[in-house]
Amino acid sequence: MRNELRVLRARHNLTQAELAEKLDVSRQTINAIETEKYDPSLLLALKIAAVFGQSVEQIFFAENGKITPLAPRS
Amino acid sequence: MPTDSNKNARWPVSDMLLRGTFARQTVAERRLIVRNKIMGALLFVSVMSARIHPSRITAETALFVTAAVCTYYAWEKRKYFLSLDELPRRIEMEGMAWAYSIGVLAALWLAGVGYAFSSHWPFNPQLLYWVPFILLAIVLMLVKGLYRYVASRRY
Repeated sequence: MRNELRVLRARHNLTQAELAEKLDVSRQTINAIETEKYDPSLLLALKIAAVFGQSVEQIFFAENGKITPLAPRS
Repeated sequence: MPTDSNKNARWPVSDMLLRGTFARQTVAERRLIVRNKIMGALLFVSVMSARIHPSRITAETALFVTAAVCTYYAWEKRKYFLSLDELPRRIEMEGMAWAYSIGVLAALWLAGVGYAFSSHWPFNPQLLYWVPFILLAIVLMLVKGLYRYVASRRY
C-alpha cells in the first residue's frame, strides 16, 4: 500500500517523533509506514487521516492503479 | 523538511537483545527494565543463599522466590505487551509464535535425548529433572530474542 504520509508530515512541519506522539505510537511505526514497509491498521489509518484533516483514501491508496467501483444494481 | 533520518529509526540492538524491550523511551519500558533488575537480583540472592547455606529454610525460600519472581515477571511482561503500539506488538506476537513452534520441536528433541540417555547410557537421573527445562528456556529465549531483532530490522 502506498501513502502520502511523508509529504503531509512535511507540509505540516512535523517530525516523525512529533507525529508519533500525536498518534500515541512509536517513531519506528511512523517510519515503517512512511517507507511503505508496514501497512497500518484501519484504526491507525483513521487516526492519521483525522490528524491531517483528510480522508483515508487521500493518504493511503492501493499500489496497482485504481479499482473500478461496482455499478449500482437497479 | 522536518524529517528524521531513517538510519536512527530502528530500535536499539542492546535493548532488543539484552533487556527484552524495544527501547528505553516509554514509561512502560523503563518500568520493565527496572523491575527485571530487581527480580533478577532477588532471584540471585535467594538461589545463592540456598547454595552457600544449604538448609530446608533456604531451599524452600529459594523455591518460593523463584515461583514468585516468575509469576511477577509474567505479569509485568503482560503489562508491557499491552502498552506497545501496533507494530512492536505485531513483532512481539510473531516472536512468541516462533518461540512456541520451535519450543514444541525443542521439547520433543530434549525428551528424545533424555529417553535415549536414561535407557541406554549410564546417566545421573538427577540431571534429568532440571537440565531439559533450562535448555528449553534458553532455546526459547534465544529464538524469541533473535526473531524480534531480525523482524525489527525488516521494518
